[in-house]
Amino acid sequence: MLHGIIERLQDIATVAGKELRHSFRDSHVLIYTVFVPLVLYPAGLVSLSEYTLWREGLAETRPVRVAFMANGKENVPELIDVLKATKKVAVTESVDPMRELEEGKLEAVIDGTRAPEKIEVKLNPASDRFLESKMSILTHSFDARAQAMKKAVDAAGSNTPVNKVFQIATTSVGTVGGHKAGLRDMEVTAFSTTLILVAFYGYTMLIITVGAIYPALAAFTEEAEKKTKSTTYMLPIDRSTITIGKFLAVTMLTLLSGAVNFLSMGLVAVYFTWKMEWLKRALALALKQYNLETVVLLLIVFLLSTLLVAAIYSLIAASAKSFKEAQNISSLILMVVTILPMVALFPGWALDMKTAFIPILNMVLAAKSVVTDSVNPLIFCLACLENLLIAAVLLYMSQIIFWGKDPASSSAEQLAPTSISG
Amino acid sequence: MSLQAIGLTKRFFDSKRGEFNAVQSVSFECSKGEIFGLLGPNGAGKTTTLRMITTILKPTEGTALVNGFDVVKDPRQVRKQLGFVSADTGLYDRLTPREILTYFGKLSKYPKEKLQPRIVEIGNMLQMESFLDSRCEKLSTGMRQKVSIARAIVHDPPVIIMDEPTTGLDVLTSQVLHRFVIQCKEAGKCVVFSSHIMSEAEKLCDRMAIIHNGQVLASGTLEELRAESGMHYLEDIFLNVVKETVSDVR
Repeated sequence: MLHGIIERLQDIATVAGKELRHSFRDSHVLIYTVFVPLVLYPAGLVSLSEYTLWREGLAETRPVRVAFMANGKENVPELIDVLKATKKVAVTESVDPMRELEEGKLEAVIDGTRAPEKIEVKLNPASDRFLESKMSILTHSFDARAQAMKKAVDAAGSNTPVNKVFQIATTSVGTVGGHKAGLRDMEVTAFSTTLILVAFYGYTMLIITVGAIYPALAAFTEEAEKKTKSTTYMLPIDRSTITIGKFLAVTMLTLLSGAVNFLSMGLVAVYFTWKMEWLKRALALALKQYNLETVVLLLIVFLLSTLLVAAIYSLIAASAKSFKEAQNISSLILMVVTILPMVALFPGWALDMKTAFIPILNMVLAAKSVVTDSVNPLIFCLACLENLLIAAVLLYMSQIIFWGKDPASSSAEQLAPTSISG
Repeated sequence: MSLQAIGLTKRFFDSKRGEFNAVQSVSFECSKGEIFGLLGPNGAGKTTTLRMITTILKPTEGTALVNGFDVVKDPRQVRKQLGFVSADTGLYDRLTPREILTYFGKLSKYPKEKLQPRIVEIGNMLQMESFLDSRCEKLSTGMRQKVSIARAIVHDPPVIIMDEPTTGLDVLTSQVLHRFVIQCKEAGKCVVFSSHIMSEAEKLCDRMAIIHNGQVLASGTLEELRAESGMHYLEDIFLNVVKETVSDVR
C-alpha cells in the first residue's frame, strides 16, 4: 500500500513538473504570474509617490495654514512638533480659528480636546485647497502617530494597544452635525496603519487571482484545444493523478505570484523608508506589534486563499471549451474576486459567524482579524475549513468535468461526435 | 493472440439521426509479429473501432482482449499494453520531443534507468536526432507525427494501434513511417493499422479487413481477398466490396 502511495505521489510530481515547465515557457504566464506582480505594484506606487513628492515640493511655496483650538492643544504635542517642522504646513495662532476657517484665512483647524482617543481636523469644503489640506495633515499625522506610539511603547512595554494611542479624523465644517458620519468613519479606517495592511492583503488576492488564470488555462484548456487530451487519457494511471498534478502546478504558480508580489511590496517598503524617515519609524513600530504567531496565521490564510483561487480557475479552465471562452469567464470571476476583498476594508466588516462562510471575503477578513489582533480561534478555523472544503469540491468538479464520464467505468452511452469520424 | 476484437458494437445517439450503430459486431484478430489493416472510407467506423480497443470509448456490446486483458474489465492494464498513434493527436507545443518522451515514459512506468537510452534508440529509429531538443511548436507536420509515434511507443508496448498515421505526411516521411511499422513487426509487435490509402495497406499489411458503414465486409490476406474477388489490385477489390454493399442496400 505504501509503495502504491509513493508511486502515486511520484506520478503527481511528474505531472506537476511537466505542467510547470510547460507553463514557464508561456509568455502569458510569465507576464501575468511573474512580471505584473513584480513590476505593477512598485511602478504604480513609486510613480505615485514621486508625483506626490513633486506636488509637495510645490506646496512648500504655499504652505497649508493651520491653527489649533486653544483647548486641548497640550494633548497633541507630537502633532504640533511635526507640523511645525514641515515647510508644507504653517502653524498660526488664531483667536477665533473657526471664523478664520470659514473666511478662508485658514485651511484647517485642529481640535485636540478629545485626544488621544480622537483628534478632529476641521476643514472648509468651500476652500480650493480642501483636499490638499486634508491629505497634507493626514499624511503628517502618520509621523505624529508613530512618535506617540513610540512614547507609549517606551512607557508601558510592547503589549500596549498602540492602535488606540492616536486616532485622527477629518470633518468638513459644512457637514458638522452628523451628516456624512459614515464617510468620516471610513476616513479614519482607511488611514489606520493596520488596515492598510488589510488593503495590501486585498491587493495580494487580486495579484494571485490574476496569477492563477494563465497557469490554469495552460494546464487544462490547452489539453483539449491542442488535442493532447486523448494521449494523456491513454496513460495507464488514474485520471485523478493527472488532475491533482495539474492543480498542484497551478497552485505553485499562484503561490509564486503571491510571493513575487510580497517581494515587490518589500522593495516598495525599502524605497519608501529610504525616501521618508518618518515611515521608517512608523514601520519599525508597526512591525513590533507582530510576532511569529501573526506571521504563521497570515501564511495559513495566504496558502488557503491561494488553494481556493487555484481551484476556482482550475474548474473554469477544465470546463471551458476553448482558451477564449476560459479567458472570458476568468475576467468575470476576476471582478468578483477583486470586489470582495475591498468590502473587507469597510468599517464594521469583521470575521464572524456569518462572514466566515463567504468564500474569498472570509480570507481577507481573517487576515484583517490577524493584523488587528482580534482573532476568534473558532471562527478563524471555521473560515479556513470552509475554504479548504470548497477548494476540494471545486477540484473534484474539475476532475469530473475535465475527463467527463470515464468510458471504461461507465455503463452509459457516450455522445462523442468526434469519435465517429473514421 | 495479442489482440482480439469480439463483436465490437458502438451505438450513438444523434438528435438528427436518432440512435444509430457507428460500429456493428466487428471481430478480428492480430498476432505477434503481424500487421493487420483496417481499411475503409471516411466515416466507415475505423476510428470508433480503434477507440474502443484503446479504451477511449466503451463498447455498447462486445469486447476486445489486448494481450489477454479485457478492455471493459481491465482498462488500465490494457493501456499499459498499448501504444496509440492517431493523425489528429497533438503535442505539448512548449516542450521538446525529449521532454515529452520522458514524461510519457515515466508515467507509463518504463524503467527509469532505461528511459534515456530508449529515447535515443527511438530517435535513431525515426530519424529524430536533429530535433529531439527543439520545441514542438517549431517542428513541421512530419516531424510532429514522428514525435507522436515516438510518444506512443516509448514504453515499448507489445501492441501498437495506428489510426491513419500517414494522413497529411509527405512521401519521405511516410516512407520513414512505413519502415518503422515493418521494424515493429520484425520486433514481434502486434500492429493494427487503419488507412483509406489502399497502396499503403497493400504494401504493409499481412491481413486486412474492409470496413464500411460500421461492418466488416471482407477480411483475410491480400491473396485471399484476390482469390475471393477475382481482382488483382486492392483498390479494385475494395471498390467492388463497397459497391456490392451499396447495391444491396438499394
